[in-house]
Amino acid sequence: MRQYFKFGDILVYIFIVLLIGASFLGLRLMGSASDLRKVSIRLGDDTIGLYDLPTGDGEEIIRVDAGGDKYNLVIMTNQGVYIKEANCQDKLCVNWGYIKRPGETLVCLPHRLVVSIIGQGEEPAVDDISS
Amino acid sequence: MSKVKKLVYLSLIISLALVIHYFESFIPPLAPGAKLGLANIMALVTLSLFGFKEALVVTLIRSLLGPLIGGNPSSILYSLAGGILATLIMALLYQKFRPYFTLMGISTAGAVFHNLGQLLVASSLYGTFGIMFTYLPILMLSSVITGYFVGLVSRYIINFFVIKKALTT
Repeated sequence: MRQYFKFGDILVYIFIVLLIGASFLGLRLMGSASDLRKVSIRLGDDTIGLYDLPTGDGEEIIRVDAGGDKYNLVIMTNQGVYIKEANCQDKLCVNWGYIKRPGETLVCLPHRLVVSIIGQGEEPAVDDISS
Repeated sequence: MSKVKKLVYLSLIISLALVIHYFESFIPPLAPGAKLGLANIMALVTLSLFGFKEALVVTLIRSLLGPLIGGNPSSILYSLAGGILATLIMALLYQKFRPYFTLMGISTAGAVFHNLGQLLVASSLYGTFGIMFTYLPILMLSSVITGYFVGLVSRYIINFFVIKKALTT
């Protein structure tokens, strides 16, 4: 009775470790299968492209030329999308930061660029706390 | 043990479980959903002093009344699913495989299945298994710690009863 550990307990802990492993595996499988988010990039009235968010660690760089020397550098990672560099005057788009949920947008008004995330997923609530 | 005596003991245990269940809600959780599961102590004690049927009754009544007392009736489903699953697995381990497990191991298994039951209900209510996979690791880790603690407490209580029984008879 005064024993603090028995053989069977190991089985319980092994079971726990297996469950944790399975949940990480499941999360990974679900993540790749159920990510329906897409990044839409529009310039004025034209849609430049519709991209998938990258799943790995790498990032995808898209250079958008808005006529003249005007350009924006859009970076897509699995965390979200942001604009790294732009030569517009106000740099609002660069300072905006990441967007990741469906319905969020990055806008560069001087270049008439709109980057938005579309897809099935929870739309941000009206009075959501911005993160 | 006479019928009346058993009835009194079981009602006492249920009321203790309810009080523990209520007081536990004041302890802030370390992670969302990771509670101490102290009411499991009573299930384990009943299991070893009386048996499976009695433990199931205690757990059922506790899971039904506990959320009502705590003022959160919507969590009845969670506590019912978790409690029943935990009691089932603990009874199985206690009655069939007792020599191979310590009480801490049994209660850890109970805690694991309690969390599993709750997560199953949550994921079926929200219609996604993503919740389950994200919460599972942290809940499992917490159930290792709380399960060990609950098992240790249960052992002391059960030992107390066994010694008392030996002295009085």
